[in-house]
Amino acid sequence: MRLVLCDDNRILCEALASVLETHGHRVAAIATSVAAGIEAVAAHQPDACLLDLRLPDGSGLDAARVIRRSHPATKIIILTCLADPAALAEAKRIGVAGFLRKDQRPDSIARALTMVGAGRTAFDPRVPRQPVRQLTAQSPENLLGGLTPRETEVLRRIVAGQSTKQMASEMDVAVNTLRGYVKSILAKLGAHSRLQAAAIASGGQYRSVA
Amino acid sequence: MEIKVLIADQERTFAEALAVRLEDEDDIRVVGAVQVRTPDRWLMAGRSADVVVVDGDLPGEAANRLCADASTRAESSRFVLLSSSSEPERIVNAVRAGAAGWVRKDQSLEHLLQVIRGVAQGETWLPPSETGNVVRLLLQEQDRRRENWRLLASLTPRERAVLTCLAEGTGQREAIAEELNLSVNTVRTHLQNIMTKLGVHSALEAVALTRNQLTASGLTPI
Repeated sequence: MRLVLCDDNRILCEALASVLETHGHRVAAIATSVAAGIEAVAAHQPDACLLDLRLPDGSGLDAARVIRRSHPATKIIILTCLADPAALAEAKRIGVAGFLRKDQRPDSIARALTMVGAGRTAFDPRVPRQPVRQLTAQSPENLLGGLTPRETEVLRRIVAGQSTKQMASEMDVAVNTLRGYVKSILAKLGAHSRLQAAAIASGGQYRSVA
Repeated sequence: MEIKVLIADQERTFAEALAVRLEDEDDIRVVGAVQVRTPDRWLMAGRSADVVVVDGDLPGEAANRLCADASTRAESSRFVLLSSSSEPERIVNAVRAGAAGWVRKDQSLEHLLQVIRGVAQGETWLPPSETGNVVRLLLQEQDRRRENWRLLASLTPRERAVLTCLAEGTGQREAIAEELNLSVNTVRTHLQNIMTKLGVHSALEAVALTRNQLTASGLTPI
């Protein structure tokens, strides 16, 4: 299959490209944003496009919607590190041919692409269709991993002791937007305050500050 | 001369695809490609690697901890952190932990190869666009550190105890009072004095200042 790879991790794209090429696929272009991805599909008219969900200028699903409309012959396969049932549902609604996770071996991704090329679909069976209820307490590392890149940056600034105003100004967002990020961070970490969030993020117990 | 490389990333697809690609290079031998979430020092056990290419975006700054840990055990592995960002503050933290390289994930694979080879020779590779900021931050830090030692030394033992509560995430005066067996008013006074002595405007800032001092002096939180 002739492919366009769209992921902001260029190193991943280039490395994956060489594996895919040993399986007989050809990578026509690599794009690291939604805009570049849409442009690359328009320029190269590939058989398929591998799309990451988290891109710097939007969600891969945005790109998927546009590509489905403008290039319906190009099959879309989402390749993501997240196992989000809502994203899977939306992706299916948009009409993608596959939804794969980045915890698979490169060979299985190559094989999944071959299957899609043969007219089949490739949906990772381990992505839950319903949200799975968390019964056990999450470890701090897992909680921190659930934050978006923006939220991670805000949390780092909270740990550094920055005020809301300072953060909003340095990150070039409205104060209300920033408050929204903080609210989301507290909810995801199960923290009552920024102080508690900072403690969780620092991952250590202080016996003595002496 | 062969460069032995260990790869550790949150995503197995990335770790393994990178391993395959690096093995294509005549001067590189991949000794491991591991998917990790919460790496500990056992990641390095039994593996001898010249260069470790590790996911700099692992939650909880785990890559930095891995790096710092390896250097305390006088291992000769050189660490290259891969990240989707190039924020100077994060690069400074990595350098402080002993990292030899920082590469943004949206760079080319050729660039990563260049960094791996350079780092194996003892070089340090940081994004050139950020080197100025990194150096500036490190210099500023030095000045701040001296000043902060002086400020922290002026705290009384009780004030230090209150500060410890804050660092553990206990912010409410009532909770601190209960933990330290003090009256709420006393806690309030201590909090005010701490902030005045440290020259900060919030408990968060006070804790941030303290944490920086501890990490900078090589003391790790228990």
